[in-house]
Amino acid sequence: MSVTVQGPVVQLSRRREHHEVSQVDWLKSRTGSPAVDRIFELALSYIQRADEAHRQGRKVVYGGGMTDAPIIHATDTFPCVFPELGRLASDGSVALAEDHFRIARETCSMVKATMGELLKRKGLFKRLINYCSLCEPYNAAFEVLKEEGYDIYSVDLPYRSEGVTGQRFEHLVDFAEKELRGLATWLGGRYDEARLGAEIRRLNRLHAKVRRVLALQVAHPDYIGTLETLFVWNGANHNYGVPGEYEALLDQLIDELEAYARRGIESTRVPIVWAGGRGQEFGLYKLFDDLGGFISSWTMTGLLLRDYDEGLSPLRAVARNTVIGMGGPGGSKDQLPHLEEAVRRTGSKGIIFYGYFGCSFSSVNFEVLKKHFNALGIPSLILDGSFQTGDPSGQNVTRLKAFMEMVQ
Amino acid sequence: MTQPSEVKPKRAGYFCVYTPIELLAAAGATPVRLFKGGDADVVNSGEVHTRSFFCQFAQYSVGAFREGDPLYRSIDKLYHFNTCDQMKKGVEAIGEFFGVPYRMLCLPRERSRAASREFMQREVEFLRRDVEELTGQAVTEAGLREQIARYNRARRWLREISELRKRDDPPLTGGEYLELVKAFYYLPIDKALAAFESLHGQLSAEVESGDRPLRIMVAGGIVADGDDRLTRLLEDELDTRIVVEDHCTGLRPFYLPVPEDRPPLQALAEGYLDQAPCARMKPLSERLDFSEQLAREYRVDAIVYVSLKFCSCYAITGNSFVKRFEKLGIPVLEISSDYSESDLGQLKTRLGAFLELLKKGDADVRHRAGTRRAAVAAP
Amino acid sequence: MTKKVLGLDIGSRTAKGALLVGREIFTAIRPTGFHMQETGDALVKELLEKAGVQKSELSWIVGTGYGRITLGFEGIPYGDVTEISCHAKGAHHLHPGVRTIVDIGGQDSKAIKVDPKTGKVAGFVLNDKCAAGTGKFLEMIAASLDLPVERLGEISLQSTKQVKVTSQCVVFAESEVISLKAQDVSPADIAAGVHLSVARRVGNLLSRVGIESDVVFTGGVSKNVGMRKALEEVTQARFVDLRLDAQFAGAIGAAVYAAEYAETGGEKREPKRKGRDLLGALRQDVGRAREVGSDAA
Repeated sequence: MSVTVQGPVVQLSRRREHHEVSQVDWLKSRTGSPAVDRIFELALSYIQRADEAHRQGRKVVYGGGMTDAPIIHATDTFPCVFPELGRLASDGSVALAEDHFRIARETCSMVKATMGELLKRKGLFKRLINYCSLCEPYNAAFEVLKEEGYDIYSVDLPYRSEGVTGQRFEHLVDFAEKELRGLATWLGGRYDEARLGAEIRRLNRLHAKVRRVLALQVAHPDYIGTLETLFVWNGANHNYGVPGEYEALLDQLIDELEAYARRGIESTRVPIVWAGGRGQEFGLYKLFDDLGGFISSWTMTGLLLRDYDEGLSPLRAVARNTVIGMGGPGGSKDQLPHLEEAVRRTGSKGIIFYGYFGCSFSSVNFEVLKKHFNALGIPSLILDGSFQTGDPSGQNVTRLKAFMEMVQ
Repeated sequence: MTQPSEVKPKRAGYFCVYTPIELLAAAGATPVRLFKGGDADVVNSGEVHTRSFFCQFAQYSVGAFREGDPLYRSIDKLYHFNTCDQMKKGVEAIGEFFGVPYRMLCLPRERSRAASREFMQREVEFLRRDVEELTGQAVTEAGLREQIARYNRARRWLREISELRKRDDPPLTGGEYLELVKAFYYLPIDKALAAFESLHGQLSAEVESGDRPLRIMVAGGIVADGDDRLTRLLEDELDTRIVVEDHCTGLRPFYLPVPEDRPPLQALAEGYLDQAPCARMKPLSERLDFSEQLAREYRVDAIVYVSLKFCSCYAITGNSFVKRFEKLGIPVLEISSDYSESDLGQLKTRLGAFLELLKKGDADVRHRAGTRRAAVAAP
Repeated sequence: MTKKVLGLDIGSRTAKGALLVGREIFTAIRPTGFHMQETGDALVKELLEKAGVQKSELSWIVGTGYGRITLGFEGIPYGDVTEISCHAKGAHHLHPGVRTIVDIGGQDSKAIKVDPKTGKVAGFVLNDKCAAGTGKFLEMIAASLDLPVERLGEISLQSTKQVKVTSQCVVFAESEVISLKAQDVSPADIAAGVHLSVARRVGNLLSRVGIESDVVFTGGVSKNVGMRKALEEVTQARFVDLRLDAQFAGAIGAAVYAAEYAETGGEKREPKRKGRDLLGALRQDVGRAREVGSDAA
């Protein structure tokens, strides 16, 4: 396939003052990359397509589509992930959750935003998966939603604390495997081992392609910006509900990136490692690009793009990745090796730890990791972000600007 | 293994009531529950290693290590069954910043699934190996059975003493009952047992006065040792009586014994999973059922439901709790509390107004307070 | 003969008093001094003078508010009732149709549901201790706009454009306001946005008790016209005015309680359990163990 590329996409013309960026507007904008434009369209229409699939009698479930994706796909279920649902959420959803469920204001905005959004969509599909050990407010919120009439399956995941290896790790996987078998049964459908194995091989193939995209992006960070990159890897497991098309778009994007690479345009962007959540404050990512940075590595990709072990039984392979990727995820220093490696490999100038205000587990992780990187002389910044869609808070804007001034 | 003779016993610290202390004791360690709280300065100290929005009790626990509380610093190793995120991260922070060794174990949430019960038993086995390593003393089946029986006796006395509070005029206050709970966790168990037994005798002999104070159940999150604002307000200033506690430092953890009719490790796994549940366990309905049972059994007039600031479990499920009791017609006052003194006045007003609603009003008002949605629920 | 009764509302900043002589209401107000009792005595004296009533004629005094517990008056029966009950009673006395009271003060805000038949509280909610949704919040915002807080309301009425202030924490809202200022948003628009944000908070409180007309807006912030407009907008309710300054509602309610007590003989306080301490020795053991550990003792 021959591809013509227009030039650096992330350019000054898209700068706007005050970082006001409506998510919908952003996703509707033309990026200059045809593949990314289409992925944006898929992201925009994702939840509506899930609703449509439900109306047509397909199985649809909220909360799946991460490391459990092979099970979801193999049971012919349409996956619907919480971050995508949260993107629809306005401050109205948060207020609705606070009001209807009388949830304390200090509760993590991600939990409130999704609860409010689910409440608004009560007439639609009602099946939810709760991965216990992922986060406490969610665990409690799911119980409250159950009382509200939702059909919820709790996958009771073990917590993989620091230094858990060998026999103890396998024992945790044993438990997760049983729980995931329960999930598969609950989801029902034409699930079988062979089908699951095929899904695993397909997802491994996709992971390799996403990794290729990320590697090309790190080498030539001017072709697509931060948000564009985020939306590409975001679909690695749930595929925005359209596995075939998503894979074709990855191929197309790789071609675009390779063509751009051949033009040999040098970039002056400063690589930074992003640790923690994704958030919905799109303006922050835009600001980050405007300040001349680019994200060289995401913690989430390390967890989501882990290959399933094809040498194991398929369910075991999913269970292993789930204990690693969704167990909380892991002890405070769990991400340390990944982050260290990412900084080294990409020559990154610093680390941004992004957590949601009120998050019950990430905060201590960040304190512990920050202490470590301080000792190594690698600058890092903790941002108390929000899952609420909207402009980034003034505080975060100031912090991010100051941080980028410091590392450049 | 050799039996250490002159060596000071190892001190095994724990926070939550999901840690099988019988096993720690059977390996020759001294179990020490760390459940102090109530001091805002210590909380502030703990905030250095957490964040401002972290649970007050978890922050206090980190702060107590940072401030060098001798009880906390006397701990040789921490054992933590992962109850909630904040306690688990608090333990990790203590390990990271103060060099305290810890062992983190997993606690299933869906307690009635076969897989959960099997998994819990394996976790208890991991705990056994770990504490044996700590003390250098092997756990024997007979020794473990004996510890289970001993702790069950103490639980039973605490339950029997609590039963006396079912009288119209309970012979002991809620504040006094919490003192007995502290004795269970702080004193050598045999010493506590002896005290419970003699107290039970004295209290049973008390003559009923004929008074019938307003009967309150305190429910919700942990009421730490030192967090006595609410107890004092309710009993000393507002003349009500706390007759039962549905929280982990009152009657709740003593309500059900560990079974003695099965292999001891299995008994511990099942007994601890099946105990009267914390809001962290699933399904929530079982927890609410238990609260309802307690409220009925102790004929409470009203419930004060307290969640500590930034406690996900009790804050988020509070509304479900209130709704359940609205249906039953038992009024609930929901309070979000922390360890600062600054809102004492507001707390007093809130409690006072709630009680005025119950006392002054005729049956009519009381009925409405209980059945109207959101009638007396403070945020 | 009509009984003469008196109500005192000793708040954290101002103290209010009301004397009822039949249908007549006398009121007095003064800043709360350091000694609550002195403040109370002064109010009583002032009211008696205004009404031309002798102290010995008073049949009951009821206190409410922050300082209610510490008061006492020689020779006159005294009781205390919380400000929540008194607010309801007082508002009901002034306007029998009232069903919901919104009270926003300096430190807290509350919503009270009133039984229109009796004036008793049928339900209530208070804000949690965070300052959002209180007068304090408005004060801090006014300070960051370099405006006196008294003018914040009227200035907000000149707003032409809706600005969203989403932060729920004072600290964050302050930085939000500062960045809005930096974007040249007019103080009027910012003030209107802030009022709307506070109104949403309070609206949430209200929705928890269930808002029913007639609604009365009381407390220090009730004087703020911008706040009143925003609240009416958020709640879609119409606010009624009381026939007397709403800040006296608590004191008047206390006086109404005093009148009821004068009829019934008042509330008998239940006797406390006799002092005895079976736990003395155990307490000491526990005390030692919690300081150093049981086997270390």
